[in-house]
Amino acid sequence: MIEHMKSLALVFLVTASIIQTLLLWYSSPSYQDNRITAFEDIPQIGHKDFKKHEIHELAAPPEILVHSKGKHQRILPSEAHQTLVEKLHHAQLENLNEITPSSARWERLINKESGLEFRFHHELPTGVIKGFFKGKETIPEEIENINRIWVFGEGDQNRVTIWLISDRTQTVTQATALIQDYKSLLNSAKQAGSTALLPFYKGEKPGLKKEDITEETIPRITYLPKKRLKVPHLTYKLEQIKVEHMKMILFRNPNYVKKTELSDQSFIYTELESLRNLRYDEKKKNMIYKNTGTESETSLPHVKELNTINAFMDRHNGWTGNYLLQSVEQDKNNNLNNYRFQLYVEGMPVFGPDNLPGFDTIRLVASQRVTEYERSLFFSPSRSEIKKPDYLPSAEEVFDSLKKQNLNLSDIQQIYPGYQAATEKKQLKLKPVWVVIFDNEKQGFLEISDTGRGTQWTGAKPNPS
Amino acid sequence: MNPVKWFKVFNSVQWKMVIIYVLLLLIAMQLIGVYFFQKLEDTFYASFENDLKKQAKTLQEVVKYNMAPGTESDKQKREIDEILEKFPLDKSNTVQIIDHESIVIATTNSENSRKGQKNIRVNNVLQGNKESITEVIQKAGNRYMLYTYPIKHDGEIIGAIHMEAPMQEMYRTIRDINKILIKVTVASMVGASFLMIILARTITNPIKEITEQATIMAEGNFDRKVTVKSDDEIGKLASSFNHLAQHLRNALSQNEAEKGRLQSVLTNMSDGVIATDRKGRVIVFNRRAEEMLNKTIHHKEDINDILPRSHPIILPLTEERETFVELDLEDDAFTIIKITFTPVLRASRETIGLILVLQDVTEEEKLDRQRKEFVANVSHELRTPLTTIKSYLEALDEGGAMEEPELASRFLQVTRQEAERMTRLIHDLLQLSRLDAKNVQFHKQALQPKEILQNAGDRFAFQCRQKGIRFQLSIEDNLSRIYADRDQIHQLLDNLLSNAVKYTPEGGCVTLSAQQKRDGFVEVAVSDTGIGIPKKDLERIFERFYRVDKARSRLMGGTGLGLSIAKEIAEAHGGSIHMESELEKGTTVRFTLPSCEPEVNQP
Ligand SMILES: Nc1ncnc2c1ncn2[C@@H]1O[C@H](COP(=O)(O)OP(=O)(O)OP(=O)(O)O)[C@@H](O)[C@H]1O
Ligand SMILES: [Mg+2]
Repeated sequence: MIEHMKSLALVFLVTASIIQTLLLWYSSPSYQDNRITAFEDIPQIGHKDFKKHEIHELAAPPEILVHSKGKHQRILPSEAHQTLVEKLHHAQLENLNEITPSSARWERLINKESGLEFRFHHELPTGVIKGFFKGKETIPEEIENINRIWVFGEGDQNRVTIWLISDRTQTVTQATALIQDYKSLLNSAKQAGSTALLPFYKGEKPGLKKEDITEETIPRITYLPKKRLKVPHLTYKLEQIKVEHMKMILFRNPNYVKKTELSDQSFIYTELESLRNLRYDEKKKNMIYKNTGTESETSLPHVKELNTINAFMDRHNGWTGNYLLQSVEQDKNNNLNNYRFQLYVEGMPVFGPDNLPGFDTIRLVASQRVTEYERSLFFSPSRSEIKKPDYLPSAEEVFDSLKKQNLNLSDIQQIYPGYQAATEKKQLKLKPVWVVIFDNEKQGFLEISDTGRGTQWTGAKPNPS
Repeated sequence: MNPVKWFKVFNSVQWKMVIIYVLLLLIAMQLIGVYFFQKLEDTFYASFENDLKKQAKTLQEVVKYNMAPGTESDKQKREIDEILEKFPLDKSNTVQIIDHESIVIATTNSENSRKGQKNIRVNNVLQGNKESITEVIQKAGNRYMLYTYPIKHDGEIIGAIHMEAPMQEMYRTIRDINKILIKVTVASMVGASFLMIILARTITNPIKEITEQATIMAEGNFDRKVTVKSDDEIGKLASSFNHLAQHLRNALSQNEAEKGRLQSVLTNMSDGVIATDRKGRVIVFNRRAEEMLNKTIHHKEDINDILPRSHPIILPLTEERETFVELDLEDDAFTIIKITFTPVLRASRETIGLILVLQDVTEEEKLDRQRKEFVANVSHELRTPLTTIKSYLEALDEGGAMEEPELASRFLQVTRQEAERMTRLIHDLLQLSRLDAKNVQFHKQALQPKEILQNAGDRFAFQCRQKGIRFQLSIEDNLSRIYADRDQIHQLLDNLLSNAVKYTPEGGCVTLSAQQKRDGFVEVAVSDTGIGIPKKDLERIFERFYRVDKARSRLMGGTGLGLSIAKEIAEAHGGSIHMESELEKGTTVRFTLPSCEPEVNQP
């Protein structure tokens, strides 16, 4: 018996050593499984052409008026526009001081002098304007918003005078700056500018008289063409961004995102770890992304926020068209700034279509991070596909239709060219319109009627009351 | 070598010990190795991780200023790239700078394609869930350590540094150490096995020697001794083995001597001995037994095959038994053997064998028979004349024979004759018995044989003439004197001569002759030309009452004791007697007598 046990023990010993040897031979240190893809490509949804390299490109004024001794021309976003903006951006503001120009000064500036008037369609906070300029010069605190930047002067040694005009506070801040090759710049601006426009200040008679300008008010001139303005009617193919792509873009780990149906055709994607969510409305093709997990709620300077936004959009080529900063609104609840960017096609802002809310604008909220991102998932990927000749109503036609509505020029804040968008069979139709901003901030669109004779109003009813 | 041979080689204690020790050493070294390498790997791992952490920390300090929130731009990215390029990093490591959206914004040169991609691994760090992440992955056959460290700015996590460091260098070092350990293990195993072989040999060699010795001893050779090399257990075993061998040798030689003695006893025994085992198979026997049974006995032969079939023994035998076996030999001769069966019993009365003792009892038996025969003869011989006498006397008494005197005298003569016969018979018997008992008073004296022979011849010459038989006497002159009892020699000669005359018909011839023998004896011969004696009767002719033809002999008045007496007398004088005869031709009886002066008669 014991003998048996001994031989068993010996056999056991031999097998144990063999097994142990084999085990050691074939065992290797543990490591994590590498099958999960650690890297995810971020879908690039827009075209690189629309990328904004710097803040001033994003915050560029969408309309430049070239004044040359009584001749007025408009430059809409284009190459020339870009050059001018670039030049302005490089201008170093100096000797800032608030002034109150006399009506004569205004009259001379508009009628006699040459200059470049950079117009924002909406007032922008000075913080943004600061970012627009490269220099470190501080714009006085009292001026909260800026509507226009007027560059003029003889340009002796390239020194120009710059007026920062705030319509709300009716203040003009004057500064001087050096703009390289100002004169040639001005000349090339004149060449790039549109057909001459007629200035309308009061009434339907063009022109500006010193007496018309009320003392200590900043005159707002509306420039309209004498004849119908040839602007093409555009048709684009519409394309849709996949929600899945947005998911990939917006969440840190798209693999751990939970999808919940909120209501009919409305979903919410949540990433529990990072407190991010994405709401998606299938019907409206609209999404709102919120990142509530950001650490601080304090807002940064506008420039930094814009920078954050631009960097954010850059990551996925989120600028699916030429978007320009339209407005900045402060959310009273959380002190955060809502940045709205408007789509510009062929240099003109797009409005609508009504059935796709948010198509024309992208809204972003940012502090340290982008905390909100709202946009339509539709976009037109390429430049114009089909161009049809079309026109904008002439000054006369504009005034006629205003008269028909019992409106006066004094009821109107601005009139500028834009596109009214409409969808038709997965296509986006852009019709050139005059965008009429009323004093009550409402807007109406005036276009040549379908028959080609006369004009018609679309969009919001021009109801100034 | 075939497997069985291998098995035999490795089934020795020596190899078992070597294998066990080597395997134990192997297991021990493996266990130590596993523990050691675990620790080693842990240490290396920790320092590797620590190194990455240090790098990440310093890099973080530099990079964080280029990643402050709101300052992102291509320029910043380029700056970060530059920093990565200039930063003194381990070039084999891949470093990724990741922004807060877990997008790679800068990498070391090797991984530019990763730029703009999301690195999901870093989420936990970006989220602030973990201080840092360390992972080990396997990629293209190599192991990499992934280390993620957060970039913090004003206490906020604004990005992460992700490092991917190849670990093959570390594992190579471990492998190198591993190789050293393996070498050491192999070397120590070789050394240990060598030592174990030596050690095992010191243990097994004496055992082998003892085994050999035991084998030799088993063959019966006790003369060799195991060499005692040490004083340890093995030495003690060897010396006690020698001691055992010594004892065995003594015991065996004693045994041997005993056996030899027994053997010689057996061989020299006049009795046959056969010993069998329990089943009756022969285990011991002596030559005498073979002789007696006239058979070759083999070992292991069944006892019943050896003994005559007429007397089978039924085994087992529990009590002693005796049996007589008569074996017929050639020419009337026979042997009677007394066999004594003695069972060999254990203390428990269990039979373990059988011993047969064979005794030749032929002679006793013969004597017995002779005695019985003798008695019968004597009574017969006595009754015959008595009956005759009685019947004649009755006839005389009753038959009126007395009236006829002639007849009566004849009757009386016969009666007298018969009485004489009886007297003679009794005289003969008495003489014989005296001779037997060596009771006879011999009056030995030196005698001239010639004188005695002539005397006898004279006595019988008349008888011969009467019977018409020629009688010759031829005696050598220079016969030496004999030393004998005169009366006895006369008796002897009478008996012989009477026979010769008696059994020789008319016209025959009887010769009495004597001659000097070389050995100093005097040989006397009585020969006749009578009826002779058949060959088969010659041997027994000297027996008492033996007669060739009983009827005829009695008719002639013989008792059959004459020759016996003659023989006794001749032998009592130190001589010998023997008879030669041929049927119908004649008989010669010769006897010798010692001379009293041999020296004189030497030629
Ligand atoms: N010479 C002889 N020739 C032939 N037969 C003889 C001779 N001598 C002896 N015998 C035989 O030997 C037997 C024995 O002889 P033995 O002398 O002993 O007895 P017996 O002569 O018969 O009697 P007894 O001599 O006692 O009177 C005889 O019976 C006889 O047959
Ligand atoms: Mg006789």
